[in-house]
Amino acid sequence: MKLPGILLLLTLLLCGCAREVSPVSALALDRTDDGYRLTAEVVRQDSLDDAASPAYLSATGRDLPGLLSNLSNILPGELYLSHAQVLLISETVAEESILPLADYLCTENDVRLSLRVAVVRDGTATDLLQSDDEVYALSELLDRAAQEGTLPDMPLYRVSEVLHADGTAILPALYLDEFGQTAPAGTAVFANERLSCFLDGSEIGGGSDA
Amino acid sequence: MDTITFSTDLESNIRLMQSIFRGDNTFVTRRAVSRAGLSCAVFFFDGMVNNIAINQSVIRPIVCSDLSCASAETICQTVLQINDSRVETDSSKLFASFLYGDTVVFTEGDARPVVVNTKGFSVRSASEPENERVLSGPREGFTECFMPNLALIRRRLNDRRLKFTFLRIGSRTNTIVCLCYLAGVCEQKLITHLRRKLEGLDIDSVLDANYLAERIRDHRWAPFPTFGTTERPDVVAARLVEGRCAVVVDGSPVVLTAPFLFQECFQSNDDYYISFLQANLSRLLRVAGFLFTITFPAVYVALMLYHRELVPARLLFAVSAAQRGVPLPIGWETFLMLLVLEALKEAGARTPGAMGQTMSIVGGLVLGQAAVSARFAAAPTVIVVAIAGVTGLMVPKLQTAALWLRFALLAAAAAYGLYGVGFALALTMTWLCRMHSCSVPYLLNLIPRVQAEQEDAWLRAPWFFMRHDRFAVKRNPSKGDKP
Repeated sequence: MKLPGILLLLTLLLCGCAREVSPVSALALDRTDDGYRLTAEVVRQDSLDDAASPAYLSATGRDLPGLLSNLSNILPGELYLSHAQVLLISETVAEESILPLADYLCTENDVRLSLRVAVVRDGTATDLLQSDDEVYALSELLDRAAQEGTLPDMPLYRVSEVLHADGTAILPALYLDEFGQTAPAGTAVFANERLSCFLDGSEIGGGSDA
Repeated sequence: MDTITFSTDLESNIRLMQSIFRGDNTFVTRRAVSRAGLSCAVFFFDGMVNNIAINQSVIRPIVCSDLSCASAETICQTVLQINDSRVETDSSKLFASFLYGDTVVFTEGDARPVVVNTKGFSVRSASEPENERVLSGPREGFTECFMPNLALIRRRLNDRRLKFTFLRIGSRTNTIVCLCYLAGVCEQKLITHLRRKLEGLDIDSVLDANYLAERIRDHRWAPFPTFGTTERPDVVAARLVEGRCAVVVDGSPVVLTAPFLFQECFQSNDDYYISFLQANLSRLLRVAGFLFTITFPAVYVALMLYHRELVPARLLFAVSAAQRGVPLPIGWETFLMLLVLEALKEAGARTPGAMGQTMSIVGGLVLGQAAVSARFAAAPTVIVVAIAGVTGLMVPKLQTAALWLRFALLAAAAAYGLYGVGFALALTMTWLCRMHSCSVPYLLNLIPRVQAEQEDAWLRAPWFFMRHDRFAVKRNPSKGDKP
C-alpha cells in the first residue's frame, strides 16, 4: 500500500502549474505599408465582482505566423485563441487572396473552426474592433444578423471549404455608421479568392431592408 | 483457560473459586443452608446479574427446601425455580457462562456445579439508530446486548428455518458471535464459507463487528465495502430473506451481512417504506451524487489546466479572474482544500454534541470566506470542493471509497487531464468487476441479464411487480426454498 501511495503523490507533483493566459475574444487584421497589423481584443477580468472588459494590443509583421508570434510576445500571458469568435479583415487585406490566411488558421490547434470571418467596409478593422467596449459584442451582432438573415453566416471552415471549391465565397460585411456604432454592411463577395464587390441587403434579397 | 477440577467438598470448592477470583471485588460468594441442613454456595458477579431472580429463584428455594442432601441434578430439577439451569461439567463452558452473568451453585457432596441463567446487566433501549434514520417505517435498532438483538430478528422472521449458530471468538474476550441464516434459503456453501472463516480466526479480542469484518472480508485493501453493516433488525430480516447470512456480535449494535453487492451501497431503508416513485428518484440521485463527488474536483482541475477550450468563455474568464493572485497551482489548491474539508469533517465528528455542528458550520463558512478573501484559495475551488463534500454525504456506505477515489482521480487529472480521469475511472471499473463478496460477483445484477434480478438493482420495482423476494443473491431460485 505504501508504494501506490508514494506513486500517487509523485503523480500529483507532475501536475502543470497553472499558466496565466490572455484569452482573445476577437482579432482584426489590417494592411500596413510594409506588412500587416494584427490587433487582438484581449479579455480582462481582475476579480469575480468585475465584468469582463476588452483591452486591445496590436503587433505588426509580414505574415500571420510572425504576427501571432509578435503578438504573444507583448501579451502578459500566453496567447489563447480558443475562445476567439470573430476575425475582422479590412478591405485591403480582403483584396488579396484570403485562402492562405483561412488555411493557416484552420491548421492552428488553438483556433476554433467556428471562428466567424467578416470584412470591414470603409475603414480599418482595428477601428471597428475598438469601437465597442463590450466583450463578444461583435460575435453577438453577427449571431443575431445571421439568425435574422441580414448577413451570411460564414465560419472559418466554410470559408476555407468554398474557396477551395471554386474560389468564390460570400462573407458578412460590417462598417462603422455615422454614430460610430458597428452595423451590418451587406455581403462581401469573393471571386478567385479575392474581394470582388459588396452587395447590400436589397441586392441579396434576404435582408431586413429588402 | 486451563481445566479446573472441583471436589465433592463444598468448603474446598469455595476456597478454589475465591482463589481464582482473588482481587475481583465484584465477585460475590453467598452461602445458603436449608432448614434440613443442605449446604450450598452461590457465586455471581455483582452488577452482571438479576438480583431479584437470584433471591427469589435460587436462594429462597434452597433455604426453604426440606432436603438435607442433594445432588446437582436434584438441585437443578426440584429446588431451583428458574427456567434456565443446567449441570455443567466442562469448566471452560462453566466459566464462560459465569463471566457472562450466570450464577454458579455448588452443593455439599457433589463436585458438579449448577449454572443458572440470571443475566441481568443494564442495557439501553432499542432506539432508532442515529445513522440509519427513516422517514417512515420501523424505528427499532439493535443494542449492545446480544440476546435481545437476536430476539429482534426472530420477531420479524417467524420461520422455523431461521437458525442462530453460536461461536466463541477471541481468546481474551471470549465473545459470542452468532451466524444467522434461513436454512434452505441461504446457500449452504455460503454458510460453510463464513463459518470456516470465523472459526479460523485466532485473535485476542472482538469488541465490535468491524474486528471480524476486516479480517474475514474479501479484498481487504479495497475501499469498497464487501460486508454489509446495519443497526436495524428490519434490514437484517430483509437480507436473510434474500438468502444472505448475518453475523451478530455480542457487545456491538452493528450486524454484518454477507454477501454485500455494490448495488446495496445505493440502497436506503427508506426505499422500501415509501413510494417507489420517490424512492427511485432518490436512488438515482445517490448514484449521481457518488459519481459527482469523485469526479467533480478532478474534472474541474482537468478542465482548468488542460482543456480550457471546453469551458464556456464567460465561465473561464470568471474562474481565471478568481484564480489570479492565488499562490498555488489549481491542482494543489484543490488537493489542499479537500484536505481541509476532511479535517473539518473529522473535527465536527469528534467534537461532542452541538459544538460539533457549530464547529462544522463556523469552520466551513468562516474559513472558506476568509481563505477566499486572503487569496489562499479561489472562490470557484471552494465551491467545487464544497459541492464534492455535500454530494459525498449522499452515499454514506461509500464514503471511504469516495474519499480515496476523489484524491486518486484528482491526481490523475492534475497529471494527465481528462485522459487521466478516464483512465483512472476505467481502472476503478476493472477493479470493481474483479471484486467478489463471499464468492459472489460484486457487480452482480447491475448488468441486465435476468429480468427477475433487476427488480431491485438500479431501481426498485413497485411491490406489486416484485416476483421474487430473493432478488439479490441467488441466481437460480427454486420453488422449493421459497421463504
